[in-house]
Amino acid sequence: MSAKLNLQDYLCDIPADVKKEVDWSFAIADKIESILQQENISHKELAKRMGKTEAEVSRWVGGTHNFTLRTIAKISTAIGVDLIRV
Amino acid sequence: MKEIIVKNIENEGVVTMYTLQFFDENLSEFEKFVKRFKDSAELKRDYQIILYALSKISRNGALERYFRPEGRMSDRVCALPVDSGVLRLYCLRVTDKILIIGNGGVKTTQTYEESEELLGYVMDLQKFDSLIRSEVANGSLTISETEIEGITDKSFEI
Repeated sequence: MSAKLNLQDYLCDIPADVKKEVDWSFAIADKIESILQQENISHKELAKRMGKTEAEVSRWVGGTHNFTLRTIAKISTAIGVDLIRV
Repeated sequence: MKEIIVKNIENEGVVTMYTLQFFDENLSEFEKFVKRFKDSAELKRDYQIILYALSKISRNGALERYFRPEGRMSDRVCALPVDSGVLRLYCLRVTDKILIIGNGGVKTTQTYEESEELLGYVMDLQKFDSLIRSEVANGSLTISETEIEGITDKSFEI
């Protein structure tokens, strides 16, 4: 049988840029979800506002979506909050 | 029937993570996934994203929205995907704080059922999910807020 498992042991080889990508993707996903809950906007409503499907909204809040600036701008406009600041 | 044990994957977050290991094998299902993809020329980045996403999930909670439902409506099998990628890591999301990690692979077909390999991983988790439910129902296992009590001390047949 193999030894004790620790998740940290598997993370040390992951490059900094990959970590940054996932950090940002999760941060944007969590921010979208948080604003939707705060404003009582359902995934269905956001999809409707943007002419997208609910499945697409689910992907945005999933944490591993590779957002384009265009998508971030469209979501920000639809929910009335800037998701990122430069 | 295959005999399995459950191993804890220690982490620094709020989610208790487990993985399954077949009794006659040297590596757990999670370790097999790592071994297969960590040096893959084509899938290394997707693998790294999935592993790092797991660490984010360990801190944030195994929230439903982080996973894609797989299996049947009646079970708790889900996949941790890289959005727009093809690599999948299959899991059993027991609660927001309890996650059982299985094996995974490349999803090149529309559904996992079309791939014998992926179907096998999902079915193993489905069988284990069903087993946990029946053991909880008959009192052999107890799910607390943060763990499945005693699950790593037993062996199971799926």
